[in-house]
Amino acid sequence: MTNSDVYITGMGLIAPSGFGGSDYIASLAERDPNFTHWPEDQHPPRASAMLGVSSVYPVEKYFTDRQLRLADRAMAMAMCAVGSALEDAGIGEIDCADDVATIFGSMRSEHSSTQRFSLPFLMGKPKSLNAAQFPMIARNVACGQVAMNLGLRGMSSMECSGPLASLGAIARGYDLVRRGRAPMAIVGGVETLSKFSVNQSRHLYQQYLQGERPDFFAGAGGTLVPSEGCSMLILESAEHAERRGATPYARIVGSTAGRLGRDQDGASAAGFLTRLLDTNIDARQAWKDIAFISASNSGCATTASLLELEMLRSIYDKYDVAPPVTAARSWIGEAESVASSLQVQVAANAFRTGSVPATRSTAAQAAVGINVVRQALAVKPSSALVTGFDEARNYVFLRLAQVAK
Amino acid sequence: MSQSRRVVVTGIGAVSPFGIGAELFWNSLLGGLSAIRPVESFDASAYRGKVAAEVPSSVSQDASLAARYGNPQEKATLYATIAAQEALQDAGLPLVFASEARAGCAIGTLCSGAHNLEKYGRAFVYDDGALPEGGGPPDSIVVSYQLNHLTGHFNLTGPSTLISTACASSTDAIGFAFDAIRNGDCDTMLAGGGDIIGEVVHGGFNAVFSITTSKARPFDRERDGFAIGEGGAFIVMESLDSAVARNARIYGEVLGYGLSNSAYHLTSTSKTGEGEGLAIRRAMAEAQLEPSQIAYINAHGTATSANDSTETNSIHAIFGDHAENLYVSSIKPMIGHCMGAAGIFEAISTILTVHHDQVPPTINTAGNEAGMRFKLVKDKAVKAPVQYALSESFGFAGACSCVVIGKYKHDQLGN
Repeated sequence: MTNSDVYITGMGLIAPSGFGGSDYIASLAERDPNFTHWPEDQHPPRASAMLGVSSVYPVEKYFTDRQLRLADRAMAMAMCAVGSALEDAGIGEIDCADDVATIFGSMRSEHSSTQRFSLPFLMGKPKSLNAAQFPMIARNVACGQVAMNLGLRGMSSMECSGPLASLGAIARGYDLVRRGRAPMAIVGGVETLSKFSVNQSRHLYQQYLQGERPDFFAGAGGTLVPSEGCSMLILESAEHAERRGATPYARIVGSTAGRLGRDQDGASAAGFLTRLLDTNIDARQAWKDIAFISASNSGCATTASLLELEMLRSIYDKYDVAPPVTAARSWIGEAESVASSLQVQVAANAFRTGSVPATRSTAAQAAVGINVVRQALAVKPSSALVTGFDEARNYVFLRLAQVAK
Repeated sequence: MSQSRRVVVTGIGAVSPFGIGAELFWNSLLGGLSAIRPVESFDASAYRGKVAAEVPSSVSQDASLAARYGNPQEKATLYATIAAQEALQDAGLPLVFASEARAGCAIGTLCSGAHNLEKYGRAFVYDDGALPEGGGPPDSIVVSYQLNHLTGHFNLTGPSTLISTACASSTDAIGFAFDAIRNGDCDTMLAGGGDIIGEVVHGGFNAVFSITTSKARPFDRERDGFAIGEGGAFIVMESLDSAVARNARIYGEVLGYGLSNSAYHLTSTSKTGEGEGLAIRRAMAEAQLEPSQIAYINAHGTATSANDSTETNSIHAIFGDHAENLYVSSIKPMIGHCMGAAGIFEAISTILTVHHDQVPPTINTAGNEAGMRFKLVKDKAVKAPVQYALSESFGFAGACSCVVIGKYKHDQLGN
């Protein structure tokens, strides 16, 4: 079995501050994140609580009026972000539609449509259930809509393993392309907010919504800004990308995923760090080569953020390096799987722009030993690391490297 | 697959509509029993379809049961945990792995959390969005709850995922687990999932005329849909090296899987079966098998008018004249359509078919599907040599998934 190099060749993002491809993503750190006040009638957890609502994306470009009537926001956002990513990759007509993989991730994008479909039932009128809204309770409808719109019949799946689901989807797409099961994969994450899911955020993140402002890379305090959007990437085999003259951003060279055991934490688990090194298997690169880290820090001292800080410090100590770290969630909020996918986009984009964007809302006093990117950082990276942790102690890591000239 | 690690099945567990236990599940299938009855867990009088295959109340209402399985606050997760534990015990593996063991987990589910979600939905409508009593913790309505409970309960630290590709979910999960082992990411994976009957989903399928008003009759011209089923099922998948090293019993070998999207319609299968057939072709290519080597197909066989004709077309297109030699059956008339967990129940049935050379029947059917040329096993189980078999799953949004199971030969000595 021969392994192919896997290139990232396109990216599209819908976030509270706008919509677009790599240029938009490169500008995120400079933009107003466009967070809005948590609506008064939705029980804001505190007076200054904010939300990140994504409302600008060109649905009319990708949907007919009839399709739009039958689509929910996850479907609409996914198609727009995929369309943007394909344009970013310079792909017009897809030449291998029967083999293009579609692997998406989401934590809970179905909640909005499930609540909408269920409403007659919840109000005691089960005979009024709207059959046309029923498909939207399936979590994979956004993935299916994209496949249908573009005629893509390759390997198709939907990971729903929490906020890291999109990193899992990217890792699976990487594996499918690497092993020759797909010449191209469309991967990423989508999340939607509605009144119901905002209320759910209030309960789900209750303990993390009390701070006055996000404090990225602080060891305590901070707050989350629940958010939504869609982040999609185009992965291609080197052969496919080169054949069509694509200009890749970076290549994915390794991934690893798992969960910290009962007796492990981010710092102490020697076995865990050994597994972390698995990400180097394909790269054959040393830790000292990592130019920067795109981290999952949420701006709040969540279990996940604290584990990640422990892990970063242990890497620094073990390998005597201190790569600068930036946080995608500081620009778009806690958009769950969207933010995780954006971490990869930001890392890949830095290989082309030569700049790592600055983290917003950085804690005045960052956690001990953490080298935070506070101002845009000029880099010539040969390698970068994407790290993801969640509240259930799951982790996913991806290694990116520059494309050989 | 010559350069890849081989993947075998060493443990099986099930909580089915027949009750707890893989042996009970299998014997009930061979006996042609049906667990489909009038719905008990909610008032179905408002719907034209009023039947389902529910886990017996002696299991679902046993308050003491949850405490023995880590006290999950969600029913599908409870069924999944019970089934996973049975599978681990059956495989002779520990119930709590060492963190360094890096055992993983791949779950497929559709409706996990649906009961709690209904309670949160009602609280949102009627109680100003307060936390509902008996609705479980807030994370129990996020589908990843099932995954996080299982990985925590059994201390699974390897690659893990929860896949939700509608009714193809847990077949897809087997594929994920297959890759994880084959690629050398880990030696042991639990693959499967738990699912439940929720009134919203029953009402939804009723609204699209997919719930039968009488009996599920796959591949029968009089068919009128399925009954929803529920439960949890898991298999232990293991590298052959690991299984041989610990002298484990091997039920069969997972030889490959295939996925596709039919890219046709959000709820309907395609007319030609071409997109669905891509998953089958990919699975066989992965397994390095020719169509003529397949002896049995566990069909998706939902008894809906669209699925069964599509599936028939795809089987005929791929297998050609060999279709006449193919045994085919659907177990959905016996356990209902277990949604995201349907695939793992059917994969287990397929594995046991290969292991025992016994094909479970498709009950209730006249077997008179238009143009059907394969050997639909009706009424009673048949004994037949089955070296290689397929299990097929199709879901909403074009999701198609298929796995290939092969008989493990005792004279094989690993890689």
